[in-house]
Amino acid sequence: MAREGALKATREDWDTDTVKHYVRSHGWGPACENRAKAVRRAGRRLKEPLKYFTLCAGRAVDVFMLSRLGVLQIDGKTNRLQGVCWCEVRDDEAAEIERSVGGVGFRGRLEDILLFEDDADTRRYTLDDEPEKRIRRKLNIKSLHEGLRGRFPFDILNLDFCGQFFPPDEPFSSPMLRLIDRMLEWQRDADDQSCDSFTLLLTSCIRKRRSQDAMAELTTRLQDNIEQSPPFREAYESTFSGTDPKSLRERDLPAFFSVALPKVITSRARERQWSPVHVGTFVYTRSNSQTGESYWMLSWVAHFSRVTGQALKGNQRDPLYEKAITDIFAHGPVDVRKALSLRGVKKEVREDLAAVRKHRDRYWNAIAESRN
Amino acid sequence: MASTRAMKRPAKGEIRVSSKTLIHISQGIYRSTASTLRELVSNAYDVDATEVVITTNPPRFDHVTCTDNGAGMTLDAFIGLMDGGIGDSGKRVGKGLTAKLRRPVIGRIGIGLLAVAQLSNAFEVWSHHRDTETAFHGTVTLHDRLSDEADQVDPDTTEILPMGEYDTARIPFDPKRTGTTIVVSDVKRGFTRKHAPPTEFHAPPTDFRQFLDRCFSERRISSLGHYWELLWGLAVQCPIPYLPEGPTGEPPALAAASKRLNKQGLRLVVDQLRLWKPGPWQRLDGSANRNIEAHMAPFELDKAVAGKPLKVSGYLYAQNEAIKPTERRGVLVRIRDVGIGGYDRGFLDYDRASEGPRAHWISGELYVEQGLENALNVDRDSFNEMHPHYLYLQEQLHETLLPLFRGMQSGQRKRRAREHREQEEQSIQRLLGAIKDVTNVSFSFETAADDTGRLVRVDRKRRKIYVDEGAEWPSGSATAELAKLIAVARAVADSEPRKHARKRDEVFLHLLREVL
Repeated sequence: MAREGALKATREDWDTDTVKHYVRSHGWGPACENRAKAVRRAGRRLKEPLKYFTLCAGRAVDVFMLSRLGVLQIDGKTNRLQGVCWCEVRDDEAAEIERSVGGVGFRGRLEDILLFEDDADTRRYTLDDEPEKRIRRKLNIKSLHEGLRGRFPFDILNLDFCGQFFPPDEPFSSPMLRLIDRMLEWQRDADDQSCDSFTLLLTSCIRKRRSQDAMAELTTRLQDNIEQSPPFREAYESTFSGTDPKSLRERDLPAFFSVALPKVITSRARERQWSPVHVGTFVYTRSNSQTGESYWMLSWVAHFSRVTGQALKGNQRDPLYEKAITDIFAHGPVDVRKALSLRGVKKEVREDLAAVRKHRDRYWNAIAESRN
Repeated sequence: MASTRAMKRPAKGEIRVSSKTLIHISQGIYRSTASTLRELVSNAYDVDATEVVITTNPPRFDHVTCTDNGAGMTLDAFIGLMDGGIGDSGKRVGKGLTAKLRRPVIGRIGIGLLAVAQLSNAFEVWSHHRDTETAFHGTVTLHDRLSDEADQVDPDTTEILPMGEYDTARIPFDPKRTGTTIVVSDVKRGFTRKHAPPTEFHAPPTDFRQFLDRCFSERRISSLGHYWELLWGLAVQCPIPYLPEGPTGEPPALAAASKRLNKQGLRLVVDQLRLWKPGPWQRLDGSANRNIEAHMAPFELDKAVAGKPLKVSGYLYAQNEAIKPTERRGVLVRIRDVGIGGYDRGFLDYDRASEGPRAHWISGELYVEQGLENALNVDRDSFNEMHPHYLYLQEQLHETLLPLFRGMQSGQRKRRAREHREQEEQSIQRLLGAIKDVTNVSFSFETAADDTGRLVRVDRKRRKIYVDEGAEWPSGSATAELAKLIAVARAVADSEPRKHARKRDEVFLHLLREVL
């Protein structure tokens, strides 16, 4: 029997969404262009394409924006986009990405793939043994885990999540946070250790229902920072007119998250020998057309550099860390909807999005026709 | 040993096929991945799709998707299919043409969807049905080791054997997504292992001409890997148009087929490579600059065989050199514009041994317009070789091939003779040049017999060298030619003044070196 109305979340219309494209064009695009310049300036990889990991949807607007900007290149011999690696859990979306972008695809939940751990079954069997379905499923994830690990490091990690970092009933170290840890480790430990720096584009959702314990923990950590370090306090106070994170959390949740989340990730990155340079945070509201629930989206853009020497522990202070946190505190988030209301901005974003669509259509048409 | 089964009474009635049979069939009837995916393309073709997009997620090859923009399927039709409708197709009811584009329907018994079972034990379907403006999402999970399970079932059972489970849900209809998407996950290990390269993966270009250039530069496409073979197989077998243009233009024998395929206009894109059918005019020699003699023989057949019409048209292309790549040698039979397997290098069981390497010089395509379909095996990759239509086609093909091979043989002889003559002429010219060097006289040859009875006579006054062609020169044209040239060398040397005996020998040795 058919399950009437059993419907998955509706798709956003990424092709016309100016709010999302503001973040792409004002945050992601410039940061990725800088990354591309840095890679080419370094000179070691003049002929190799930039390596880009994305959680793009089927329309892959981010991929084609970067292609249009020349960050991602099309191979002259094969006419294929180079260096794109993606992960998608929905099969229909994945089919569309494969069709439109190509690249190397990993189908499954990123959390499952990255956080996979061997167990008795996966140690005992391989896929060649053709074990039962339950074990095969685990082995397939193992294969994805190993395959994705082999693709690291990337020059740009675009983690455009639709989930939230601190969901209710999850410990502070939620799967998404552990996923970030794992990625930072893979970036650091990749076979040739060739990755000295990379760019992170991190997007997540902020919902009203979230872990209260995690909120308290975040507030305490921020409070400690502000109290213990005068530069932090100064930067925080100048941006948020006060030194009480709890009041900011109650007054302006997205602003609170725009400092709390990057701060948490910065600490964890330092433990894994990475130091971020804060580029910016963007926040905007969304609402679910079916449930009516409204929520916020937060996007953080940062460049990460490898820190040589010993890894730092949580409480250790160092100049790089202090600079990163000060920058995060000193720059409040960009309210995308406000920015779009400024004169001419929306038109400019809309035109840029149209140009990306046109670029994408040209690429698709070239494939569909493929005549000399 | 006494049978444990109860004895049955004599009876008459309907003959039925066990559902076990279908289970065994579902587990593998197609010889190659190309044939498996071809079935999905054929299914899409039968619902008037104008575009089919297949992705295999290279280089991982862990998923396969097939998306078409055809009419789509209703939820009821899908449930009907799952509830015992597989192998019970009504697609050919009526005139056997598709509803919108009036294409000849390819599918006959409705087991195309089972092709998926050969790739995996799980797949998902999304379909947006144009006419009813409804859509659904279905998941299908087949039981593991179905064939083993089926073997355990009591042969006397009449119950329908479950193959797996399915689940469906209605989803909102999206007119932009009219058609069907099949996503095959948990792909069987064999598929992944076969296609995933052990070392670095070389993606084919997205331009089909470049793809063909690469294929034709190899002796075998398989040397580029199974994935390239898969793409080639789909290009050759699916009902898609021919790659336009070419150095020699489209052969008249294919005009009707080519026009029809263009009109039907199915676009097939696999992993961003749009596939075309490679035509016979696309560099069968595998090299752009070589001057190869080619011959295109049309093949026409229109006759009632065993009371039913058999109509076939096509061509047989022959060239005086082995065709590259090897996958293109032989003859490809198409029924309803779909290739039956690949090129048959055996030419429907022709006695190739007697033709030696010439059997590698022919490539042909035969479009069956009427008949032969009943001779087609379920896999749509081979024929029942006892069927009268097959036998007649075989006979006619062999009758066409025989003079073609004979013509090639005769052409080969003529070409060799011509080459021999050219070599002879070159040798003569070289010798005359050498004679001029040593005698300062420009001689020419006369083949008329000399009345002195000598084999060769040198007339310095007239500047002529007479060679008696009628003499008994050693047998074998090459040997005879060599003997004549040596005789000429000796005669020219002897024509030097007698007092210069030493010089005579030097002249002879010099000319001999030229001759040899």
